[in-house]
Amino acid sequence: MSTLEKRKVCLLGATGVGKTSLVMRFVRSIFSDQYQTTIGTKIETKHLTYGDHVMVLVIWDLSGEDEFQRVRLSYLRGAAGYLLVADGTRRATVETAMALHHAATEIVGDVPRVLVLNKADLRASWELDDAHERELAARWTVFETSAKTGAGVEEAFRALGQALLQR
Amino acid sequence: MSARLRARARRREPNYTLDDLRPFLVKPEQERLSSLEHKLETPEALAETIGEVLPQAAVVSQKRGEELSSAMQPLLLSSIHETVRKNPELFADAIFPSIGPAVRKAARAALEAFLQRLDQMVQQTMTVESLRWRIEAARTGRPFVEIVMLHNLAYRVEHVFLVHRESGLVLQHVAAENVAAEDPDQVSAMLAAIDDFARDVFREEKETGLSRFCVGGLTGIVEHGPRAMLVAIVRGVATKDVEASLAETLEQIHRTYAAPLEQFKGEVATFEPTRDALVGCMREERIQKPESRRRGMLALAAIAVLALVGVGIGWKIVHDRHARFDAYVEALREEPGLTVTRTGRDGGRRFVEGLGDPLAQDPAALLARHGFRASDVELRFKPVYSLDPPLTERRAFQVLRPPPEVTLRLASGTLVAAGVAERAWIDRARLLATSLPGITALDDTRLFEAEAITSAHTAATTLEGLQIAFPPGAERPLAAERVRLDAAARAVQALLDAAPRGGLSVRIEIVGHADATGTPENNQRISEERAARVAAELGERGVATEQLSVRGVGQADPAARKVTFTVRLTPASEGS
Repeated sequence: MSTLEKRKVCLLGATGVGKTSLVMRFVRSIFSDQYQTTIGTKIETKHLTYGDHVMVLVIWDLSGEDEFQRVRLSYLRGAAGYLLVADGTRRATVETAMALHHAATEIVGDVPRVLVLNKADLRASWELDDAHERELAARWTVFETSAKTGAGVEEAFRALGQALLQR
Repeated sequence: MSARLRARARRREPNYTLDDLRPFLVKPEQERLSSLEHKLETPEALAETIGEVLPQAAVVSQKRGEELSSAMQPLLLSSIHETVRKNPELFADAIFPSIGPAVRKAARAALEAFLQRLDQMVQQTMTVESLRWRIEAARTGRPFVEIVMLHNLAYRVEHVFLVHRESGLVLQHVAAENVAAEDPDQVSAMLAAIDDFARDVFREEKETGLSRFCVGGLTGIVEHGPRAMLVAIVRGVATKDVEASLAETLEQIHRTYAAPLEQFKGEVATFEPTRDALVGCMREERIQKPESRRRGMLALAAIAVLALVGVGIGWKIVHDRHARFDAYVEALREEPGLTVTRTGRDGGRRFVEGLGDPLAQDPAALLARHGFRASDVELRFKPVYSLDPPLTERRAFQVLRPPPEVTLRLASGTLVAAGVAERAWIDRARLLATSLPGITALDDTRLFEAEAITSAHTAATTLEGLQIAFPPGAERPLAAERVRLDAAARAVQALLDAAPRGGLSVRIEIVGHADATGTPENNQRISEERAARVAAELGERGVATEQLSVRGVGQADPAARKVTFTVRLTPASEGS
């Protein structure tokens, strides 16, 4: 008999790293070049199946962090895990992701999380060098993704789901 | 040893133990303790003691809250369950007196609800209002059911979400029938987000939060608990009952699921049993429309229309039947020899009264032509002689039985008989005709005797067979010819007598002849004189000579000294 579990997960990252695009790609298999900033949060759900287990991911796509707006961290309450999203073409977004990770830990504790380096389709213009990436990979489960092509997106979310299931 | 002796001994030996003193010091307490011990350790005594305070304890506990009843509930339920399982008859006996009325009540309620729904359905499908709603549904793109609900319900709870407060995950969700449900997780998470946002922004107390929001015709009512919240999405204006039911249900859920709520990681199956409790919150209240006058009017109008249609059809049937009857009666009136004196209904059956000549058309024979059966109309006709000319004529025929050569016709009371008949029939007709009702005279001027015709022809033949001989050159016949002259006179007389009676006109020509002796002029003269002489002879014998014409043919071939007769009989109408 299959079991049904629900998990709240959040997407955290700097503005414009492609959080909403990742969610849209993951949940609805669509991508739009048009950028729309997220105010507050958007919520999507996605059913994932792991053997007999069905997991409903309730994905909170939180607005990005930048100099004008801060992530409303109270939205993290009750999250079972989170995706930190950074933009490979902007090194600073990795720093923002790390800062958000520290802030999130204070609220939700040590919960499963993955680091997503988005915009893999623009690999040529990445600011992030291999050395830095290796350094990150040593401490994190890192996925290179492209919301535009879909590469790595499913894997990143599924890996987070898998980690949640094992807890 | 008595107390006094022991006291004396103590005085002598002062080293008493505490045990020796205890009875003196704490005897009453000891007694109370042993009594308490007895009460606590002896099951009977303990039961008696608790029994004394239990009712009061229950009352006090009830006043404080529902902990006792919540605590007792599983115990009682399992006890009842066990009792029913072991002894179903006992339980059946116990509930038997109440089950009948309960079933009846439930059945009545279900029937009433069904009738109400049926009534509404009829109204909604057949009224102008429903048409308006359908237009509204088409215009707004909302389902018809929603429009109906909107207009019929004061409020209806369309969704109830049980939401884990911290994560915003839906633990349970129920939705009303026919309500389109969005992804409950998404909805609830968004609500949780809004709730979080509102709290953060307005820095309100932890225990409060988003409690009510409105979107169009929908109101969200949020009841917060320490671990979970209940959100009801209500269409229309909810009463306080909804909030009360949410609060009560949420408290109950917190009591029952305290641990699962606290340790919730995402296992929603644990909360499956809360569905019933959430369904309990799915309330609705119908708008109590006053017994609609319009509805009454509509019903009346419908009845009136039906009645009118019924009356119309009935009227048409009756009218048609009336019309046919009137036409039948009119036909009877038109019919010669029939007189209708009265028509009407007798015991539901139509009747026609009147007078009828036996020779007139049978009134019953006309029924079928007007769509009636013989049994539909009672005919009460009394026999009479009718003076209607066609009837009089018919009667004349019947009585006189004329021969085929005779025609009978009635004109202004006069029976005109024409044709040829035997003398005897003519005599009988003359006798009977005027005695028939409606016949005042008999016109027989065109009625001729068959015998007279025969006589006329016989006489004509006789006359034409006669020749009167003359001596040479003389205009007087021989004396011996007197006999023939007499015969000729009788024949002419007979002819003149019979011809008019036979309807014939007669022309008798006396033709004088001469022999070839002498000149033709002389012979012509002498032949004319001979014819005139015979005419004179006939006149002398009493024959009316004006009917006779004379002619001389001279010495016509064969030349002879004689006078002959030519008779021409023609029907009187052709008479010259």
